[in-house]
Amino acid sequence: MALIRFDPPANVGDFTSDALRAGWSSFISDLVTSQVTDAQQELHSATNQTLPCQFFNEVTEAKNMADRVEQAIFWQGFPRVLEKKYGEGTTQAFRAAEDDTPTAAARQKYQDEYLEWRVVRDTSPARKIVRVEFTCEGPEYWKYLATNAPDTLLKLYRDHVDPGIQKADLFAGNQYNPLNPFNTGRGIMHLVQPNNTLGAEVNIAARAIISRKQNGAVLTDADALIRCAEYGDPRRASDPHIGDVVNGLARAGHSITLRNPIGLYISGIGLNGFAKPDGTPISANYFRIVRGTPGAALRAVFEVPAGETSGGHPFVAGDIKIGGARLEYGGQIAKRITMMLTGVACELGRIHNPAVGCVSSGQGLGMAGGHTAHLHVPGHTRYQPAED
Amino acid sequence: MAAPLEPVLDVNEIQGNSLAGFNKDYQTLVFVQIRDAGKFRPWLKSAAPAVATLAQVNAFNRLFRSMAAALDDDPQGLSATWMNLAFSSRGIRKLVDLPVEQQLQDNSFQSGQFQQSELLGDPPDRSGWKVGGSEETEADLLVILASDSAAALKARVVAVRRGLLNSKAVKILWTQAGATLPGDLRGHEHFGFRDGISQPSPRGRVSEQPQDFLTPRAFADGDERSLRFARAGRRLVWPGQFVLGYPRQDDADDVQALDPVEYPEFEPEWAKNGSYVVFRRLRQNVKRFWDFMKSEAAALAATPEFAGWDHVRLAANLVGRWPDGTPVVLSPGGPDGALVDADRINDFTFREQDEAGLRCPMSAHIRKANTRDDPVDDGGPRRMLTRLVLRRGIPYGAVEDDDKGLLFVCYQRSIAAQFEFLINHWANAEELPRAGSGHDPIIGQKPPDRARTIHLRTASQGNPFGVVRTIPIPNDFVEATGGGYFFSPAASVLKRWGG
Repeated sequence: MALIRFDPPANVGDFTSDALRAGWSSFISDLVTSQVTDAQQELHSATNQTLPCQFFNEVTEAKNMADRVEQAIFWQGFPRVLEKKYGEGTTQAFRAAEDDTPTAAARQKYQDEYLEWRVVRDTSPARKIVRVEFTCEGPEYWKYLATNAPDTLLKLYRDHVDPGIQKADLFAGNQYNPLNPFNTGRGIMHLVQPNNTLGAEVNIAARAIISRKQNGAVLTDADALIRCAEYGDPRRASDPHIGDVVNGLARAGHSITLRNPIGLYISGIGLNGFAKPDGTPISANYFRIVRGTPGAALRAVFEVPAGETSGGHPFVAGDIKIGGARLEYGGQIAKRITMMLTGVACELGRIHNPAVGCVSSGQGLGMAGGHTAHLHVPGHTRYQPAED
Repeated sequence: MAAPLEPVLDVNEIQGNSLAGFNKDYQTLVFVQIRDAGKFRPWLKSAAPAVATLAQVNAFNRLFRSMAAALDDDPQGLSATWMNLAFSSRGIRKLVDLPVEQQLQDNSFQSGQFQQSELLGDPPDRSGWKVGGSEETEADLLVILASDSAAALKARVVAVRRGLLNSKAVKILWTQAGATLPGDLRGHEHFGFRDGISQPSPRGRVSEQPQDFLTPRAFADGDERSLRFARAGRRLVWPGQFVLGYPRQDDADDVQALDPVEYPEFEPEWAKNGSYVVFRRLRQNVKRFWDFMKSEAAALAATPEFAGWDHVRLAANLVGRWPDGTPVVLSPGGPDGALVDADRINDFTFREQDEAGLRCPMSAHIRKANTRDDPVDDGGPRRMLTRLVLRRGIPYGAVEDDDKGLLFVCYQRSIAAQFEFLINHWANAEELPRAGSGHDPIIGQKPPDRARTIHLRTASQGNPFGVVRTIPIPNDFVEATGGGYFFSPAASVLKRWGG
């Protein structure tokens, strides 16, 4: 059955009217179509031909879905960039990923695998973790709510962050501030790292369908591809892997889109090895999904459930051990989280596009010199390398 | 592209089992608890000169290879007996008082394998473990003894044990013998499969001579393959992945080493030339393995997609190789003697030859443990090269024994990023390294609440991804019955600790 509308991420029930649902669907549809157009333009510049695009809008473009398959794409929640810099599982890596600054500076800089978190600590000298809140909600959704349903936005902030929040805390006049204190230093509601956007996700998928060649050979390596096509940060886990899988499907001849509802999701968490102070394993409900659904969560909280004791005594998250290590940083949990998006492939073999050259070489865009065209989509930020 | 300059390894400092490997038919592992550090030091001082260095082991291995090449057979009568030493974090703490900034940085090592056990998927009840199953039975010191001669090894084991006991400083927790299996199973493990085929080839030179490589090279300078391969199918990996203080593999560049200025090493200076060593005593339930293969293959063979499948074919698909080592991805229908010579047996890719897992299941052990060119959740295949470990294990137990299996020993620069990652993040995960992987059918340990599952795919008209058959594996074939995390320091460090 053809898709008639794009739904909100995880089909969350924030929209209270058909108008809101239709408006969001239009937004996503425009986003996807603009990426299809950009990809076609890139192909045209590179080949001087008008070629069909292997990335498509599932609502506006009818495709033969007889051979439709879904391809889940998973990646790790903890920033690969920090693991490379400081080693894996090291205190330095976990410490670098988060801080207590009012602007959540470390989160804005380093938490770039489409998962962000905020750590709440107690007032003991050890400053033990009480709660870690995770989100993978794209800023576009919240800007949409701010524009079209500001009361809903306010209610969500009050429900999930602080009941005392006022509209003036979130808006400057009528302008929503995504970096407001209740989404940075004093709370977390949605993604703020500049590259963690739905637009970036769609952009990677759309641009990754273009086959690339370098020195006469078609590229198949994840690292070589992302550096050639420049569709994301090659230092991450997410971007190279998403592009790798999508490009592989495209090279095989599929047409590809993102599965509705388009979003970024927490797929699951590995809690083996997490133990209460008495050494017994914690149960799954220590990681509580607050928005979204199991397997496609948008917001989750890690904390000790109310009433839980260990050896007869109450305890907090910071008393939990993961293997032999005490839980001291939210990143230790992020490391165990698997993120997900899902692609849809169909019409195998219908489109056969040639491979084109790399972006920086100018061959990809038919331009001399090394300057890359700026494929800008309103409301979406393209790859911006984070300074070290 | 010019070949990168490979570092000169400190062959008199690095213990020989790491980069070169003892490669002996007989090994005995002795697990020791230090009771009195003051009395232990003289033993260590006396033992240190007998610790086999990379220089010694490499010299022997080269001699062995040159004679074998001339004879086209193993040389008779050429024998060496080696010893290497490795300490756990508690063992090191007993011997030296290191300030915080001088301590080893791997948190998993510092916790010790007992604490990390559940992360590896081990069940909570480890009372049956021979060593390392409780805090009281964790070893402080691992003595690795190996020899070409069973008699020589036995004599050395007796001497080492006597020396340790005479020191009145230790308790010997466990002495574990291992040996290459006899007859047709030579080079195979107890399920019957040829083992240890795929090892990373460490880069590095053993002298200042520009071509004096530790790992022999089959491709001439100027041959493009020489940039990445020691010989066909043998990837070159920077030695810093296995020994501290050397250039490391870059997860974004499969030829040039990681820039040490942009990515400094965090381990302390004294740890240079040392390696982290993981030991796992893996008991293999051979009867359960083959009973499962037989009953499951019978069920499969009744379906049209798997008609003709027998227990060996099913087992081969779950391992990723036929018992003789033939890679299933190259020969899905059966073993092929032409594909088991040294240059063919490891010369294959997965994604390039079998994107959808129709020839070799994505669940296959060798595809889960070494993804080669498959897409992976943590970035790209070049990152896989940073995950590889050097395996130095050996079977234990006779074929007719009930308690038999593998003494798994591996060397790496980071237990967290290499051994534990491979086990916890990939082997025991159902949807990693990518969707459709399934759990590792051979070494995976089942989650507490359900069976492991694996997926077989067969080609199907009109479906490029094939038809999936999901098979639950209710019980594990391999269980850990002993373990430990150790650090194998440089020779001079051993001397210093001995006082």
